[in-house]
Amino acid sequence: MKFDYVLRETFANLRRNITLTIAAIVTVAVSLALFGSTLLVRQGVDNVSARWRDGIELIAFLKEDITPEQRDAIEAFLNDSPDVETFDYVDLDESREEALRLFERNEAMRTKIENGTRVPDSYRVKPASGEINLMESIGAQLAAEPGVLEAKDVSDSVKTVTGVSNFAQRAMFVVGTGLLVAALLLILNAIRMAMFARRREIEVMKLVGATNWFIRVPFMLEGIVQGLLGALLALGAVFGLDRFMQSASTTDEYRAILEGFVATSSELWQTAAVVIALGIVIGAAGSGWALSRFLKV
Amino acid sequence: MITFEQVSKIYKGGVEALHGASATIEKGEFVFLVGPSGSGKSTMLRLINREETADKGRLFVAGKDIARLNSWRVPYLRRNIGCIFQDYKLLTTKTVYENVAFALEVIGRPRHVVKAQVPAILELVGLDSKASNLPEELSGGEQQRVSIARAFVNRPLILLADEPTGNLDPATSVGIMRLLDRINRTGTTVVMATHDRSIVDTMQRRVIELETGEIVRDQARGVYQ
Repeated sequence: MKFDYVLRETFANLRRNITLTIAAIVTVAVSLALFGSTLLVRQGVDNVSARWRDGIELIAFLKEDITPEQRDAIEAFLNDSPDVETFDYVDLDESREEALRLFERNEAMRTKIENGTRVPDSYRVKPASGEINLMESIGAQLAAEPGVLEAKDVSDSVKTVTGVSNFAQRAMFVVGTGLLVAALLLILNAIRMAMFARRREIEVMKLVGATNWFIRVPFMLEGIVQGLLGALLALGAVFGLDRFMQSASTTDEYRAILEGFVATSSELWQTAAVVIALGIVIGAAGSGWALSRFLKV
Repeated sequence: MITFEQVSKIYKGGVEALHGASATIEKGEFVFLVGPSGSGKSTMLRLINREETADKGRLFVAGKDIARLNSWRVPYLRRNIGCIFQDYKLLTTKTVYENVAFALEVIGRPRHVVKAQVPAILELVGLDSKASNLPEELSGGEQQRVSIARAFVNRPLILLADEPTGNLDPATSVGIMRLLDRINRTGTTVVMATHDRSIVDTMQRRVIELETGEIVRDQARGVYQ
């Protein structure tokens, strides 16, 4: 009895306020889509620049047939050079693991690695300063070592991606927050209208001794349903963006810049969970606020 | 059943609607509250129902000091108190049956209880044949009977009536009073605020008269005066 009463009332309210309900849902959807996208892009950027964390700006990949003497020579150079602040050795297992993580959803690359394509071990070098000249000189010296396959410095493209996306993330975050506030107020008003439409029922319910929770639950649920529907629409946008990132990062044209620019599937699901949770929280907060302000006990 | 001990109520803006009122109403009594508009009759009813809280004094309803009642307990207090009003307060989109059933449904009574109680109470108020009509299809007297059915369907200990005959002609009013008298005879305490001189004079019940928030007369088998 109680359960179907609550459902019936909730959906009757949603239908009665259809325009305001739609406005609230769309606003929730747009704001959460922006939030979700921000999270996803941030994870993509984190992944693309994973190798370049902690100030590491140079990587020397090692040859497969490197001899211990050649390696000693490299380490001696890195230890002695005044231009090198610190360095780290990343062995074969770690490199392979890192590559598998970064290319988790790049089928072709993964298969190659899994089928035994070698991911070279490397030295990760943090130079004493980020000056281009300095880096180029260390890079050239490392490349000249006989055991080094390739010396890479942090490319301009990675820096560009990071810079642009930092700006975009900040902008999306600000707009998303603004819209989230708007969504909260719209839900507040939708619930307020629903309560106004049902003020006589509420009056009678109080008179005959219905508990406050009994009166509140359908309104709470109405707000939560609005938040949840908005969040589900936003998920559509988030998954769409994810697809785009995935295809962009595997299309040759973009590959140089966007290699690794994808969220892993666990990150994608975390983002989805955050979006859904935010939708529910917004809905509950909006209706809770309306109830505490306009429902006198 | 109901005890006012030096109860005062001051509304926002400083209007003192009730000033040091004391009275005891026993279980099963029928009491009229009379007095001019603004003398505090409705305030007394609203205090009993805990729609308002007393600012001074103590007020016991069914053995509990309701000035000190936790707000979450208020709904349970109200389940013991039925209320009827001059304007009936029926839900216009619900049928007679649904209006009465609503009162039981929203306090969580199981479906079989609703199915048994509602037809019985509609028969008691003489509206069993109009169960599926909407309120607007009924006369004023019939609408008031629906509201009495709704107030009484849960068998409350107390029935509060705020000018229940205010919108009705004398003949219809007599019918409503017969119904209230019948409910009173089941042991339900009835407290009724009214301006209707002829009803008070014919019924010959206890009369509490108020004037500017003070009880000026409390008479066992009284008249309107």
